[in-house]
Amino acid sequence: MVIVLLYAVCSFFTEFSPQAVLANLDQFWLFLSEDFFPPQFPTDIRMYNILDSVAVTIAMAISSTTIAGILAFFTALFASELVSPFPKCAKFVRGFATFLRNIPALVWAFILFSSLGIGTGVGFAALLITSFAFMVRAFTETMEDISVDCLESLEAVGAGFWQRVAHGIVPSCISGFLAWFLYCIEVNVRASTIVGMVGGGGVGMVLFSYIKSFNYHMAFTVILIIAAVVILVDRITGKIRKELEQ
Amino acid sequence: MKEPLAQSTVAVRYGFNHKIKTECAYQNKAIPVFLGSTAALCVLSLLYLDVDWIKLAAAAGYGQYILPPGTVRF
Repeated sequence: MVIVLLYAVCSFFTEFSPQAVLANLDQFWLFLSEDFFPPQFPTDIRMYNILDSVAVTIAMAISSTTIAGILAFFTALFASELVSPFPKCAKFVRGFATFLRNIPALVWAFILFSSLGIGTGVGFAALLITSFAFMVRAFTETMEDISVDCLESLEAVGAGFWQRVAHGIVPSCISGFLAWFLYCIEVNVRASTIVGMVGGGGVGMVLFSYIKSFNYHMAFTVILIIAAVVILVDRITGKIRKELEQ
Repeated sequence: MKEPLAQSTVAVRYGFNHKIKTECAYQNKAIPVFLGSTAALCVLSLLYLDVDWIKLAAAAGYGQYILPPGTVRF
């Protein structure tokens, strides 16, 4: 009853009408079947451009996630009250990461694009910021899930901060860190396409240029290539995750 | 008084005068391989992206698009 009421209220405020959607369904289908189908096989030069942009997208996702992961690891050490040598500052570090995380990659791309212009540097920076913020949170949660006994026993025998990290945190959490890191790569491969559409470079920019020039058959080909790449990346990261968990 | 290191404490207690060997009970050899290959991939990716870092770092006006509250009126 509450859900139905909420739906009714939200529909009223957003002026959403399911009837309008259903009435235009045939137009939507016509657009898909006539403008998008069949996908156009690109010429050699176009194919090279598309594959090059796909490589740029993947490179952007891998490099930004890796650098963000390294930065996030060291930041997360200070964001966890359990581990941090300054537990009172942990809340501020977390707050900063939460602030960065609440701004989506697309918005970061818009902010950076306005000041830096179009290019892969913008996409890289946007993905770096969001991945960093996400991984700080994920790594902190992973660290706080480990047994306190391990850290206390290390502390009891006189281990310093970095010794506790090297012999207590890293061995206990490394598989968790890597699982989050791989998840972040998956997310970033998808996100880099969207970031590319607003000027971040890569395959998103190519897709956007085809859509803007009404070349929907080619746009559909690019969409199929993106889908294939995303599925491939998901499968590869899934296999790596299984190997690392063993 | 500064606390002694973990190994030195144990060494004093048991009369050892050499460094104690520490080994993991179980080593997952896939992890160092993964970390090494990821680092290599990251470097290759950065080279492939060919971003002009100097231009990126020196770009003026990072803050000029974040306006103080009240500047924009709807």
